[in-house]
Order: sequence, then C-alpha cells, then structure tokens
Amino acid sequence: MLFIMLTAFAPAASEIAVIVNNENTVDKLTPGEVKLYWLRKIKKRWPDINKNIKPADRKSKCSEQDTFYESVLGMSANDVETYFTQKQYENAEKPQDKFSSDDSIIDFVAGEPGAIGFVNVSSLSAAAKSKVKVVLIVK
Amino acid sequence: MKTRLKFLTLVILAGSTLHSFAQDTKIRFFGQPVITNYKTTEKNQFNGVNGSGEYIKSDTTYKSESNFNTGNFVLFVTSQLSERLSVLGEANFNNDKKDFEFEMQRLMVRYYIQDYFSVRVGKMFTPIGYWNNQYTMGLVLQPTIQRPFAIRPISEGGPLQYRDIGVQFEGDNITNTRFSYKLFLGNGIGYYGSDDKNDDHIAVTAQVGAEPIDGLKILASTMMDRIEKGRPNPNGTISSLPDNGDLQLFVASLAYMNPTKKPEFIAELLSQTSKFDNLGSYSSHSYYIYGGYKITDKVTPYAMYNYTQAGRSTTEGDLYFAPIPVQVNQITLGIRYKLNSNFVLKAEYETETNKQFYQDIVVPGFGKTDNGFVNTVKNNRVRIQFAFAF
Repeated sequence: MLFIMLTAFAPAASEIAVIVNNENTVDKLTPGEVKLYWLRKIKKRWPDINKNIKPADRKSKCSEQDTFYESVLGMSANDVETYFTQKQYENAEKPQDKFSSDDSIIDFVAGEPGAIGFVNVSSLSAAAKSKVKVVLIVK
Repeated sequence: MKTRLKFLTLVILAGSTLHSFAQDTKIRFFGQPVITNYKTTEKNQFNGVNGSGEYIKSDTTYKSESNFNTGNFVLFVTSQLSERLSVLGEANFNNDKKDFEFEMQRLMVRYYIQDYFSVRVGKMFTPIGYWNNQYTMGLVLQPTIQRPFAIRPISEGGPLQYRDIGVQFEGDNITNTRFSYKLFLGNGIGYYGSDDKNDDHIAVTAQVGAEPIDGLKILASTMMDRIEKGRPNPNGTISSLPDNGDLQLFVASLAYMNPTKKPEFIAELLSQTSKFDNLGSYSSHSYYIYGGYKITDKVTPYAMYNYTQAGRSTTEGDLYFAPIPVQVNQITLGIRYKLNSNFVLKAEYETETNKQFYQDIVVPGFGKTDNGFVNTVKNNRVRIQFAFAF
C-alpha cells in the first residue's frame, strides 16, 4: 500500500524532445551528437547552415532539465554550469540561453536558425511542431 | 613594432563596437575573500657584509594574527557582437594592500573564422601551460586557493609573464585527437601594463596540444623573447640585467580535469633558459603536481607539491632570474567544498621552505674571508577561501 502511494506521488520522468530550427538541415541526432552540439564541444557552428550553435536551457530545475542533463549529457546541473562558465571565462564563448517555459524555448528555437533545445513532448502541439524540427526523443 | 601592436589592438577594439547587431552581454562577478594565518621562521637572514668581509646574519620569527582579506573582486563581461565576433573584459579590484588597486586583466576581441581558426586581439592571458588559461582570476573555477608558485604572476612574486597585449591565432578540436594550437605575438618580457618597456622586440609564444579523451589535455608551450641590458627582470629580483640576450621558456603540461569523473590531476614542468650574448647561458626550472579526488559531488580533498630552482645548482645562480641560487619546496594540503557552481569553499594548509645559497666570500688578494651559508625561510600558512560568482 505504502509502495503504491509513494509511486503514485513520485514525479514522473519526463519524455523530452530535442528540437532544432526548421532551417537546420539536420534531421536526426543521436544522444551523443546532441551532447556534442548542445555543449558546443567540437563544433561551434552547424555544418550546413553555417550558423552559431545556440543551446537553449531551462532557467530553473525541472523534470525536463533533469532528464536532459542525466540521459543526454550525463552531467549534473553544477557540472553544466561550471562547463559553460569555464568556456565563457577562457574563450569569451556565450553560455547557454535560459528560458522559464517550454513555450519560450519553442519560440526561441523557431526564431534562431542555430538554436537547439529540449522540451517536454507534451508541449509540442501541432502548431509548435510546425515551427520546429524534432531530432531526438528521450524517455 | 610594439607600439604598432598596441595601435592595432585599439583600432580593432574600437571597430568592434561599431557593429550593428543585437548584442548579447553577460556580466559576471567573481569574488574570493580569504582568511589567512601564517607563521614564518627565518634562519640566517642576510643582513650584509662587515668590514672584515664576513657575513652578518640573524634569526627571526614572524607570526600573523588571523586576518580577513577581501581578495580580488573581478568584474567579468562578455558580449556577442555578431555571429563571429565576441568581446571579453575582465577588471580586477583589490585592496589587499594599503592602497586600493585596479587592473584591467583582459580586454580582447575574438573573431571566430571557422572551427579550426580564430583570432584574438587585445590584452589576454599568454598561452603558457594549462593553468594560466584555465583559472587565473576566476577562482571559483580554480581547484586550489592560490595558483602554484611556479606559475604565479609577477604581482604575486612569481616569474610568469601571464598576460600580455598582442594578437593570437588559434584553433582547436582538430581531428579525433582534438589537436589544438595557439600562436601569440605580444610585447613579451618586461611588459607591466604600462609603457615602461618600449623596445622593438616581439615575443613569440606558441602552444600545441591534444585532448585524446574528455578532460585529458597534453600541452607543450614555448615563449621566446629578447632581453635587454639594463632592463629589470619581471619579478624584480634583478633591477638591471647585465647583458643582452635571448630568453626561452618551455612548459610541458599534462592535466586530467573532467567534471564528471572523480580523479583530478595536473602536472606542469617549466624550464627557462637565458642565453646572454657575452655572459653565457643560465637556466632555472620548476614543476608542480596537483592531485585531487572527488569523494562526493561536493567534497574534494587535494594535495599539491611544487618545486622551484633558480640556477642550475646550489653554487650557480641564474643571471636573469635570481643571481643567488634559490630552491623553493612547497606542499599544500586542502579540501574543497562545492556548494554549487557559484560558491566554493576551500581550506588549505601550506608549508613552504625557501633556501637561498650564499657563496663563500673571496676577496682578491686576501683569499676566502667567510664561508658561504644557507638562508632558510620556513612558512606555514592556513587559509580559508570563499570563492563565488554571481
């Protein structure tokens, strides 16, 4: 009984979609590729569209961010922050843009050809799906 | 030539502000107040030579009360001026000493041409070794409270020309080994941030490296510069160099600092050679080894050993670095508590032994009038640092 109560109230792990701008020629990405692009680890610009890679993040801790950090990046929130601070400190590289909601991330990705972000799959309405391209689903 | 470099820098800095682009400016502050307590004992302090040609020496002990120091307060600004152009400014405010000090640590423009090639112009950290470009003023990122003795900047009593004005060509993440290169042309040795050195020599600093696995960096760096008779050396131990010559610094670095892995390791070896035109060749070397282990996500105990020797032996100094042979041994034991990415607490115990080898006094016509001796200074320090960023 206790188990049922605990599991009933435990926060469900989010199913997230990694999205890019419609202009981006990339169609599918593996979690490893998303990690490299989102962290701007190897490439700083998208190969075909020749635009800066602009990672989008959530402003505060949320289940979508937890899933993305854990399942795609394999990093803690502190590690991600330290990583971008280090890049900014060393190379004047712009850190990730942060947004307070999935809708804001969808709008940002729709408007920036180089953007890459993650949102809850349930936030991708038909209208939203027409504005951005889903390149990976993470459960 | 150096004047031309400064002019070029100013032109590019000014030009960069003319771009009409939705600027994306990020402002951060770094602060790092420190509490310090130390005890220093000195045996055979050198107080001069008497009329009979004998050394005058004394023993002393200094002790400090615990003192709270505000440390450096750093204003750090970056801005993306266009798709390929970004700027960085880093200003340091410090009132450690009696007088308030302000210093522009860095002010540079970076133009990103492609993944394997970008250019920086302005005042920046010289591409010497690993530590110098990774941490420096942003101490919330630095694994220890102070940087190793070997690579301390001039302002902290060290020898390193750790930042300079010039132009740097660089590229990274080349091939699967993630090969990187940096070529920096700058003012070089003796540049203090003002116009007090205006010779016509450009210093060349080059670095190549690779990151075959995430976090593992292997780097080799070298700096070559011309030194001039009558000029001071950077750390002030020699106020007037006795001859013209060529100076070369070589640094080998190996580091494994992966935020997602438990072990941390950095080792760097520095070797400096000055070849005077008429007075021969002299050298000094230094190395440090840092190791840490994350026992939890937040807690990392660490240790560092640092050895520095000015001069090839205890009987031969270095006419560029320190005419009296010097050996410095330093051991640091510490623990780091990372509350989050913006606040890190560090506590350290450090013991340092500094030996200066005074040679026999030989007076022409009289022979040896006194034996040489070793001046030994022992420092024991306890420090607690609160490093934060916001």
